[in-house]
Amino acid sequence: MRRGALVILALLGVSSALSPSTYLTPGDKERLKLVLEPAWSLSDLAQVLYASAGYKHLGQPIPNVQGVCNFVKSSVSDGVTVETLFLASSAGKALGCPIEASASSVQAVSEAIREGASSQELFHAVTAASNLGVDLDAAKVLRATQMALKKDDSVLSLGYAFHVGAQLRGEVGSIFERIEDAVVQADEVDGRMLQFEGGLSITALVLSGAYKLAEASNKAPPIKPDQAVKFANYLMSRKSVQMSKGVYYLLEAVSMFTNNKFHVPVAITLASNVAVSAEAPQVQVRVTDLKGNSLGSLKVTANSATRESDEVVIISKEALTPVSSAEGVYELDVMSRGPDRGFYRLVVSVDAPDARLVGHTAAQLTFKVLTAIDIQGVEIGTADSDQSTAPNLKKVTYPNTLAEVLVADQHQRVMLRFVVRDTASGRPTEVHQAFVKITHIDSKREIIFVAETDANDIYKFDIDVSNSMKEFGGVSGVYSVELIIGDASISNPTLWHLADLSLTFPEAASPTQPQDYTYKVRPEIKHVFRSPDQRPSSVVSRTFTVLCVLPLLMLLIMWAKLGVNVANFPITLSAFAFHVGLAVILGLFCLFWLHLDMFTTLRYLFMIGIVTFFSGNTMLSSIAAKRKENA
Amino acid sequence: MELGPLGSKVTGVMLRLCLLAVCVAAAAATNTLVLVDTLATRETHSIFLKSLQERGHELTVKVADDPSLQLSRYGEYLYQNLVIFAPGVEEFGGALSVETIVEFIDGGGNVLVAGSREAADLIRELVTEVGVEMDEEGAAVIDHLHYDANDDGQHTLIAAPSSGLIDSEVMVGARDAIPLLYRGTGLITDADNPLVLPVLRAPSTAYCYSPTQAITDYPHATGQNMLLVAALQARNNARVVVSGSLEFFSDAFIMASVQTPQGASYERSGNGRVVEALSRWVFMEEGVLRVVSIDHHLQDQSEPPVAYTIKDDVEYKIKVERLVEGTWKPYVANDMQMEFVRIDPFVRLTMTPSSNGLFSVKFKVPDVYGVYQFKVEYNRVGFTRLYSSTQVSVRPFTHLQYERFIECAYPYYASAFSMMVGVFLFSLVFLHHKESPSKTKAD
Repeated sequence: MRRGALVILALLGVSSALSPSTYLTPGDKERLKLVLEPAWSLSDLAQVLYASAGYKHLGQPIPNVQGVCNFVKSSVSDGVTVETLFLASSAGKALGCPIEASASSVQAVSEAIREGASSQELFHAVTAASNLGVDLDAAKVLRATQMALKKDDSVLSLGYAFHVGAQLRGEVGSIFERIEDAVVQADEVDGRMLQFEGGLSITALVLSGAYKLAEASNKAPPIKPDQAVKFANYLMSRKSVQMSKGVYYLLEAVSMFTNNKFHVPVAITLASNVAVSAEAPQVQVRVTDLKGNSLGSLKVTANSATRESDEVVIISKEALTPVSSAEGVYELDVMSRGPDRGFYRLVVSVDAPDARLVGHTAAQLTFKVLTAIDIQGVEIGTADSDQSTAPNLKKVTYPNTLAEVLVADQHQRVMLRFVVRDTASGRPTEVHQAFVKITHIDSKREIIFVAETDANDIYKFDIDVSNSMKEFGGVSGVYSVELIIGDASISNPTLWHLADLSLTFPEAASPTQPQDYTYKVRPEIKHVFRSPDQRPSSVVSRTFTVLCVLPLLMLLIMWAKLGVNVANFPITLSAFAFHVGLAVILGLFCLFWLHLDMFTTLRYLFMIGIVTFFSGNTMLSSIAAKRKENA
Repeated sequence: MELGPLGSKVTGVMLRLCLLAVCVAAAAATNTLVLVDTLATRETHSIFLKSLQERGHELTVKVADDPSLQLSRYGEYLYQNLVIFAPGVEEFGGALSVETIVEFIDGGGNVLVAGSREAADLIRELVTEVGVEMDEEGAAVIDHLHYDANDDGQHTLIAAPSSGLIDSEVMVGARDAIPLLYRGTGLITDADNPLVLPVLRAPSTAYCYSPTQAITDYPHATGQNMLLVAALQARNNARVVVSGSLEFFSDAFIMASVQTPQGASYERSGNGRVVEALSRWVFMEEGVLRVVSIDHHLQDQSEPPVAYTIKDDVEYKIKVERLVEGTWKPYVANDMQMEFVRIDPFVRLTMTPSSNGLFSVKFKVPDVYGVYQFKVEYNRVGFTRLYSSTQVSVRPFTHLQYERFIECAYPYYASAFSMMVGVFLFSLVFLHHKESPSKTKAD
């Protein structure tokens, strides 16, 4: 289903003209070289092959060729795999120091060509054989390849088969027929690229294989010119590849596209800056192959140049003149036609003397005409919101800042008017960006307003201070007023600090927000301990201590006067026990006060209390009995 | 011969241990799912993806509408991280949807999303869920004063000054003056949302609008209020980065040189460095803190008591580590605070750091008893939220711990003792007094 839809898309895409819009620039080549460079540490044979072949395609000299050659030769010993033979022999070929065939390697290669081998194995064997100068039985290879394709007819397998076919002498029509099978499996991206599922290496492998096979069998491949261009577009979109394997495949395919008998895509690119202005009035167009090489002297025509906004055509059917200083670059003076500023679509075609060139007609390029602008008639000031008095406007000229600070409060409006004039035509003009940026100087908080034009193309900006309290957050203070004038087609976009403005909002209107500590250090908290209560002076406490002890003293003195005695003390155990017990209980209370806790105290009290209780009981009953006797 | 079975048993155990070690190693690798529009993205963004692989991510690159997509199996997440480099996807394939991705974030997964000018509604809906709004379809960030020389003429290839980067080395790496290349849509966030961080602000002169249409309405995003890259660190520490530009992460932008209209030129854009730092951050390789141990005790002791008494002198220690290059290293900072909380914090003090990651603080327990918590809440831009609370009870003095022999209480002491002496003497006299014979006579 999906593939069907893609084919339909591809057919629709034929009608619109395509041309590679980029090529391998010197910067790209330098970057690709950097990707390949680590291989010269000579640790991996595959990397060395990618780097040697890549450098050859880039036209770069290989550092320490002899050392690399020795490394490649030393990696081939008896009993190595066919893959190693393939890598070493191909690297040797790229380096210019071919590996010589040994009896064991010839045997290994011919053994690898058997029915049941995958097309990748066959590709390795056949390439190794051709690099080593070993003759192969073409019919046998062909049979093995057919078998491999029967087993696995994926795009990758087909790609290897094409390479095998390209290296065989003799009739390879059966493989050639399969090119079409591969090409229809390509997926279209954005209507301008074709790729095979699996990305760069598979796409590049299939493409280089198909073209090589076509050259070998002297028949044009079943690839339409626009398909070739779309494949080329895909390759160019992948030029930022970072893997050395990818770089190798990319360069193989790009080199193939610059040098084959059927299709050479032409890259028509802008050589000058996209912007054209009075200082640089020329539009320059570069016509090259994908590697950036000149295609010789060509006749380059500008079919049309149309302004995108209003479809005004300023150029039609004009030849571009070659630039003498740079080969393959053609130029056209645009500014002499007095174009308005804006974007223009330039359609360029190249007359192809060489039938191989594809993608050379109706290449679309975009350039823009820049003009300078001038900000004039700038007036800024304030007015009362009820319009009771005339506005008080002051003139400012670019690039000066108004010397005085404007003052406005919630009863006033702030006004600004200015004209943006195109210096080329002298007429007022509209620009894309005409913003007024008002920045609070202390907090750096910025508020941006859009200035609007009236019928006479005069820009106006007018805010009522009380209505725009929300934008300003109700924060009073000094604000700087800056004007931003910008447009894609002006040469002097401007950021101009034109005045300072002191705004006053009513105090109550600015609510104080609770401080946000989400990502900040919070203020420390120290606990405030309760201060001890005020205490009376020691004189007071001592006086009262004495007063408290006095009653006991008085009791003792009076008892002494009365002649108190304990002569009735019965000499019994219970009497002693009771009084000692009572004294111990009181002593226990003192200990409780000093260091005992409640439960220890209660335990002791319980023990002493029982003794005291019973002895007290005995003593009191004996006293009572004695009294009764006496009475 | 007898050693045979024993030997085999030992090898069996060893084998099992090895297996266990392999399992642990496999679990340590981070699984990252990369969703793309076309597999070509794998090649156009190869530097970014390669750096992830080099840092130990197991990458699974899939087309975003692949019908076999799933984030979890049997209730367990298959991936820790999700990269969505598919601005054009109209509908996710398989079991993936905006809801499942939001659940994935709620479950602690990290997400990196890149949009573009033409981002589909699905991606817009997804980023809205994390508090970021992408500007309308077709609107591009434009800046006529900060664009790169390779711009196609519309001034949409922004060379954003690095001064717009968030002031957090953890998130965006060490600061330098190299501008960042950006082409895409602008992001709008709610400035009052503290969880969304402005990773890269647009320059003051930038705005977001369709470059081919005249400005008739006020642009949705202008100046520094517009973000180019935004980040969210949710309350569960899951991280999400949203960029309005897929190309921001591309090989082309990372390898590109920058030339500003003011004439400054740089050999390489700042993208490579920032993309690397930002991806480390979003995938929890940077800015991750953990609490290793907590210790609290009286200042002259080393073991925590059952309960503290009011006005005790207490020492609290917490050990914090930070993940650096995959290993935990002591964390040192001057702004770690400890709170002693009973509903409200009673004490909040900054702790003293030491080189082994141990933060300590000494303080006096407040004179209010109750159930308290030692609380450390460390929340800084770029770091995971650190939270630790330890509950302890604080009791009042026992009766023995109060002050004794207070001078002004002497009258009370004196009266109590005099009463006790009085009782003792009186009982003695009352019970055993013998009337003198003369007195009896007088009666």
